[in-house]
Amino acid sequence: MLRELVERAANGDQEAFASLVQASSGRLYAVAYRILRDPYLAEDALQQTLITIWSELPRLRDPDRFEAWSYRVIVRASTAEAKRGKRAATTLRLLPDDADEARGPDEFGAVADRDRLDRGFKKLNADQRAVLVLHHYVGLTPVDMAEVLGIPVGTVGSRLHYATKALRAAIEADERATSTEERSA
Amino acid sequence: MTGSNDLDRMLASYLDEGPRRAPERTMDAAVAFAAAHPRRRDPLLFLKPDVMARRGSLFGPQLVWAALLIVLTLGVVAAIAIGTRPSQEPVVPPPSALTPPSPSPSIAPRPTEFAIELFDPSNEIRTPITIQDASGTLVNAEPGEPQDAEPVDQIAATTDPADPTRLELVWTFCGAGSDQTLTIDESGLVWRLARVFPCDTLGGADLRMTLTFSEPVDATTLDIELVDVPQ
Repeated sequence: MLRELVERAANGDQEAFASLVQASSGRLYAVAYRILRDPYLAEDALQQTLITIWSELPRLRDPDRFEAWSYRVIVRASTAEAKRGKRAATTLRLLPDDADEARGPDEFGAVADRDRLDRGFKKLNADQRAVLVLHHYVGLTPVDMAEVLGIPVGTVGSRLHYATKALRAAIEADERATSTEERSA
Repeated sequence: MTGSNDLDRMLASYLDEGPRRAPERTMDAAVAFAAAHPRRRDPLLFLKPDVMARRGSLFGPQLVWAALLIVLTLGVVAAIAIGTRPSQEPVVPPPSALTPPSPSPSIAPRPTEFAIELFDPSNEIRTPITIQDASGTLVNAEPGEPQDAEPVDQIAATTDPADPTRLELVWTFCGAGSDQTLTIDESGLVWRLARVFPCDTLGGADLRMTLTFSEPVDATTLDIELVDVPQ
C-alpha cells in the first residue's frame, strides 16, 4: 500500500502525495518535536521535510526504503532547525501549589528526576538528541539507524555512547547544582 | 538516577511524552506546495544519485555514465591522434640505451609485526590488534587511553605536533571478541584496519593507539580505511 503510494507520488501523482503526507506526517512530526523540544521549530522542520520529499522522491530508487529515507530527511531538517536556533526553546513547567502537597515523596522525586532529565536532554546538541530519539523513541537498531543517518554502524554506536555519556554528565551536573543551592538556602 | 538501565528507562518514558499528530496546517501547506509545483519528468534523472545511496558507493549510475563518457572521449582523441600522425621510419635506439640497468643498491624494507591489546574500561572489553607493516618503518605500537573527545567518523590519524614520528590512530568501537588487523603497505602510505563486523556490542569509547615510526609521518598524506569484514 505504502509502496504503491510512494511509486505514484514519485511519478507526480498529487493525490498519492497527499495520502503519503497524511500517512507519514504524524511519525515525522513526533520525531522532530522530540529532537527539537519546540512545537514551532518541529513544525518548520516537518514542512521542510514534506517539501523535500515532494521534490526529491523521484530520486528514491527503492520505494521500500521510503520510511528510512523520510526519517533521514526529518532528522536533517531538525538538526538544521536546531542550528539555526530561530526561536529560544524555553519551556516553563508550572506546577499548581497543591500539586506538591498531593504528591508523595516518591512521586515528587520522579517529577524532579524527569525535570532534571529534560534540562539535561536540552543541553545535548541536535546530533546527540537525534541518535537518542531514533534509538529510544523510534526503536531503531544501530543497523537501521546507520541506514537512516547515512553513517557506518560503528559510528552510530560511538555517537550513542557519547550522547548517553553527555546526558548522564549533564544530569549529574544539574544534581550537584541543585544540592549546592539547597545547602546555601 | 545513576544506573544505566534506570537512565534508559527514564529516557524512553520521557521521549514517549509529546505530540504524535502533525498540525493540519503544515500538511495542508505541503499539499498546496505540491499542487503549485507540479513535477515534470526529468530527462536527466538517470544521471542523478539515489537519495539513499550509501556514502562512498562507487558504482552509482552517474559514475558509470561519467566513466563511459571518459572512455568514449579518450577513444575519439586516440583515433584522431593516430590518424594525423606522420609516417616515420622506425627509430633504433642508440646502443647505450639498450644497456640493461645496473641493479639498484637500495635495501628492501624489512616487514615488521606488532601485537598489542586495547582495553575499554567502560565495557571491560579487551581488543587485540595485530599491526603488519610492510614498509619496515614502524618501530613501536602502544595502546591509547579512552578519552572524552569528539567521536571520529570511522577512522582518523593525527601526527603528534611535538614529535612527527609519532601518530595517533583513532577508530570507532566495535565490541568484543574479534581480532583486528592493521596492515601498512610497502610505501607506508596505504593503511587498512580490518575487523569482523557486525560487532557483538555497540556503544563504547573510540579505540586509540599510538604508533612510532623511524621517520616523520604526515597523517594528512595517508590513505586510511576501516574495513568491516562480514562474519
